[in-house]
Amino acid sequence: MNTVVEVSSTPGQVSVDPRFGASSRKAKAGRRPSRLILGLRAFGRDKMAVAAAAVLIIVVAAAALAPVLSPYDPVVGDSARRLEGIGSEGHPLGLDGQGRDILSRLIWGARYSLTVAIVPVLAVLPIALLIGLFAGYVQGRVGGVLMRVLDVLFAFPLVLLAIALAAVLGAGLGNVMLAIGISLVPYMARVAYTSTVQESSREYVEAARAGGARTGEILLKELLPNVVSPLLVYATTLCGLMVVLAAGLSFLGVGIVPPTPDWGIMTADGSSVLLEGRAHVATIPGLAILVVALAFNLLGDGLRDALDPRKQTT
Amino acid sequence: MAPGLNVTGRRATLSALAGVLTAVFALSACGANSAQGDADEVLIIGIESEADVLDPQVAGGWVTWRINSQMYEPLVTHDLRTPSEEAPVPELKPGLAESWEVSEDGKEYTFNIRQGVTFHDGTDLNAEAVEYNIRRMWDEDSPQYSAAAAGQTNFVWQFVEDVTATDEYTVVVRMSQPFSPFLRMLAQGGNGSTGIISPAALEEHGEDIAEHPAGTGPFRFDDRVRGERISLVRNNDYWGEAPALDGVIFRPIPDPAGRTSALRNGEVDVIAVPSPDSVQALVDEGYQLSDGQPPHVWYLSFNMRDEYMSIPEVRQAINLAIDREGISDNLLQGTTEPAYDIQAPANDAYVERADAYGRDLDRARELLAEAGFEDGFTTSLMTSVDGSGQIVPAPMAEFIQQNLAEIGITVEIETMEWISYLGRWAEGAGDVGMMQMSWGMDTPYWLYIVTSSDMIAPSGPNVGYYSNPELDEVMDKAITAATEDEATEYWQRANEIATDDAALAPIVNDRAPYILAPGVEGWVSASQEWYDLTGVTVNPEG
Repeated sequence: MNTVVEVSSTPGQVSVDPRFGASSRKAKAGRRPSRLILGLRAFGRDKMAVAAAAVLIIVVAAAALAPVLSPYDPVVGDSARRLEGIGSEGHPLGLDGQGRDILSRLIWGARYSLTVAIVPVLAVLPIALLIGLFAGYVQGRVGGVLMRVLDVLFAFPLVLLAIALAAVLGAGLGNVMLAIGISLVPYMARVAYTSTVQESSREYVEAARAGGARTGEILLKELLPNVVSPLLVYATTLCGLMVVLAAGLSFLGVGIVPPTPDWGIMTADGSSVLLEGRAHVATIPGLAILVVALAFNLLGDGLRDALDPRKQTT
Repeated sequence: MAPGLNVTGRRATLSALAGVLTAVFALSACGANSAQGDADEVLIIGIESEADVLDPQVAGGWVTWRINSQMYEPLVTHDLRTPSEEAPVPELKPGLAESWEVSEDGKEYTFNIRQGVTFHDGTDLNAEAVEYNIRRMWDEDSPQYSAAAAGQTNFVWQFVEDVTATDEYTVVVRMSQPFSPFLRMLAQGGNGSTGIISPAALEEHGEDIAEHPAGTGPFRFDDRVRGERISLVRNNDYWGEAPALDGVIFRPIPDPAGRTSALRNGEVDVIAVPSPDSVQALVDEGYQLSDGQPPHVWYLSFNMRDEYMSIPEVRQAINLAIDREGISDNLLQGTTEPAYDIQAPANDAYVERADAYGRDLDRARELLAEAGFEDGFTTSLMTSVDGSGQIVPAPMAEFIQQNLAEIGITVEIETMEWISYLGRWAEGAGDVGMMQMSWGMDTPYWLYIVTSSDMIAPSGPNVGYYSNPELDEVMDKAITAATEDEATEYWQRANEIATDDAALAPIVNDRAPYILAPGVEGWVSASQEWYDLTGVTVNPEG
């Protein structure tokens, strides 16, 4: 993010951005610190957000280094030692119902849980932007129809829609991501649409239009940078929700299939022995889901504040 | 098991939600019923799923027959008061037929109908009533014919040519060919039963009979609240030994943990299908475990149209690679026995074949190498996540997946919710490598149902499309054998052939555990999937 006023190279095209500047490599840091620095400072003051980011970095690192970090093969068990508890010999977090090492499954599970949470959100982001920008700025009949279609999808709760789609598409990692992605479109497109409508009526857009800019230019150069920020914040929060949703789908048996060490599957596996004195099998992955979902939410909050000029002070 | 073959449709979502709702209701209903058995001696059984319709001829599945068999009786039934250890194969005993004769050529059965029996609606049982019922299941031209009943009982009546009530208490059934398993098939209940319904009630209610059950059994229908309970009361006019209980309530509690807590809270007196990991704890707490050896095989069908599974060495290798003892002893905590034959020990044709079904990884790898797959291959296994008689299918499939990984076979597991799975299963394996089911009968005729060329899916339950002329021939001889002993010999040979060719992969035989509260007495686990409640008593004080 960049400073407030940018004079574009083409004469007559002046964009005045009261909140965030359009990014431009040419713009030099002025007397005030750059927006990036300001944003980082604001973010840094939010202790919870920093902690959340740290947690997520650790989880991502664990997921990336799973083959190195995990002490055992996550899908091979020792059935004679099944259900041994926390602190059992060689297995600090115990063993599950198949006699598999829970720590190894937790580490590998981070891969699946993060993938399923982040990939659909990232994939839907440009689609949602496109729909939101188009429907919000161009409007017209096509835009209207688009938003009404999304409104129909809105009538279904997110979780229900995802379950229905996952059931129709069938289980498996790819299908779960597809189901989650489709379910997310109306939500993310709605956020992009709302910001587009808000931004469209601002002076800098008026100015650009008066200056003779074409619709495409206004969309890409003026609106896009300002619509992206709130959407990114929203997407980060959504990632947390998606960790929970994906785990829920796996728990219900319409998500990722065994023996994949997905946290939702691990929780489902453990639920049958939860009340039989073997609570660790379900509780450990359950806590992992909670922590990661919470971290995404706190990170989202932190980002929102960091990107809000009113909260950025020198 | 017992697949209701006519169930189709993808209802995973609805069922998943229904499951959640049922669990919520089950919890909220706790306490609502607790005042029920105050003065009366009522036994409350927590069952593993909601029952099918209370029309014994149309309903599919063991869960439902366990209820229907308290209200309805076939001509021939089992002695279910003798425990499994004393009678590994359940004895047949007269039901609504007091006695019967079989003609020399094995084609004509004469049933002498029990006299002085009244239906729950007060009408009398006679030969005409029996004929009326058989025509409902078999005679397309009769007005009472029910296609649903015919579909479910086809295995019983397929060779019948004619049925006549020759006098008030005699019914003669003529067949086009000898059919040695006929009497045992009459007593079956897993896949549609031949329980006799009051013709007057059928005339009055037609296909709605399920809402107004009227049979002859020791208990009569009282009330059904779907998702919550089915309650029956004692039939004081019962022709046999009247039950000691005043009534029995079946409460569907699909979640195993929910059943266990219902038992611990004293809301139910008995639970079916406890989670294997809870059995030992419950016994230590003073609850009683009752189990037996019913004809219950948890097995895999190989897809004979699959490039790998169609090779006998591959199928044999898979059978040798599976750790049946590990599944039984560790994963399932002794609630099952390793299966060493396709047939369960609960029928006469059982032949133990530890050589083919015991674990031998070296031999398995050798066989795979002979078939040219020393580097293994990837295949798929489809199963349900729950369901009648399925034990814990997903963890069991995962266990098998690990076993097969040891000989280089990568298994992709596909799971479905039970009702969707039944529909998918009945269609046949399609492009899936192996399909799982739980089934079995106390007649070896079951082998014919699941492996004969006549029963290839989708028109029969031979879902792996297995076809072996040698096996077909021996099974035909067994079916048309004049005496049961002769038939048994052929069935044993058929078992050997099916095992040598690895027609199926039997994994475990369920011990069908029930957990009883301390006050329950007289519960018997016979070698059958359902139970006789007439000798059961319950003392709520324990």
